[in-house]
Amino acid sequence: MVHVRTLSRAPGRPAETLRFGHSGILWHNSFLLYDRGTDSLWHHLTGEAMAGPLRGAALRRLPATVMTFGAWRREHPGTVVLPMPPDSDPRPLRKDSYGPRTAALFLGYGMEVGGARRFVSLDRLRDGPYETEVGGVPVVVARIGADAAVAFDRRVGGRALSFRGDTEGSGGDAVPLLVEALPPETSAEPRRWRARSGLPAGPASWGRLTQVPGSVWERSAWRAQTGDTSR
Amino acid sequence: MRRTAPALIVFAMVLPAACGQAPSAAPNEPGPPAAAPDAPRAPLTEAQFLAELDRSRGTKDCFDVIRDPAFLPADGPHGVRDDDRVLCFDAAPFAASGAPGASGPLQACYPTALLDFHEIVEHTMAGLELLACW
Repeated sequence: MVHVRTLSRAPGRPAETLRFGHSGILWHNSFLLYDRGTDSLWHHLTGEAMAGPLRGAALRRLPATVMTFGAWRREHPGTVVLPMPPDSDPRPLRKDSYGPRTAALFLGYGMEVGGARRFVSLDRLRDGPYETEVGGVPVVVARIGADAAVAFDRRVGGRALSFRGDTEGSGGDAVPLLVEALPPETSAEPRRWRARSGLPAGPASWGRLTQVPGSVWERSAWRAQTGDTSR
Repeated sequence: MRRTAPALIVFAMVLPAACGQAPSAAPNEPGPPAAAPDAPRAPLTEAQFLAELDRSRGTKDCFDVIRDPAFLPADGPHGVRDDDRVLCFDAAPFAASGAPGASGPLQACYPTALLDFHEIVEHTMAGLELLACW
């Protein structure tokens, strides 16, 4: 997750940039940050201050996704990347110590809109995108990798669309798409958007899908931390 | 003070509770009211929240935060492979126009293999002061 770490601590007070550290503390297996100004504890995914002088404050959350670097830079050739350390670095980078355990977990996409929360299991997304509503916003959730998903607001041009899944290309270069579901009797060509970015896979006039902030969660952690029992 | 991530195995978000301990109430503080299965959980008080914390897995600053790193262009000598997983972010819809840095790159990605050892990246991009967490 990505947050904006500029916050106004009180109405009328100028915004300030907070600096954070790792608290070393877990809450239902999610780690907590602390801010160096007040030592308040913050949830690293929701960006909410859970304890301390800033309890109740919330950082502005921005949507982020997880995919391969190759897929990301094909979507955004102008991207910059945080460089890896040199090969001489002694740490076991790229060793996926969590792979077998992750494969055994019940994962889903957890999102929050306007205080309403919704969890959609990745299993639901196996056969295509899933449409739902969160906090009054019509949402489509799509799987974009083995354990990665993304959610978008379904409204385009003021109208809530329905989507089906498709792919463009093949093999490692396959790009998951969200395709506008049109009535069978129409002869119009359906619009398509790239599911990893929400960018149109066609004319820019189609517009960009607005991503809904969320993350992949393990279901029991989502339930324990949010109280939401949707599946 | 530097810590080695594998020794701590502090893993955000996706692991079930390793010790399987149920939340416990703080001394002299009533615990959350019993709820029917699948009933929404009542909001926690600060005391209830603090009582559910696990302080046994790490220490303060056990992970070194990456601050203001030098990002490289996608075709640069960055050492990230095409099949490496990255946490990726597009600031274009949110860029603060007119702010410092607003005219620079608008998309960034962070290799998760590196984030496993740092968990937190702070930097500025598109005029925004950002906090990337993993």
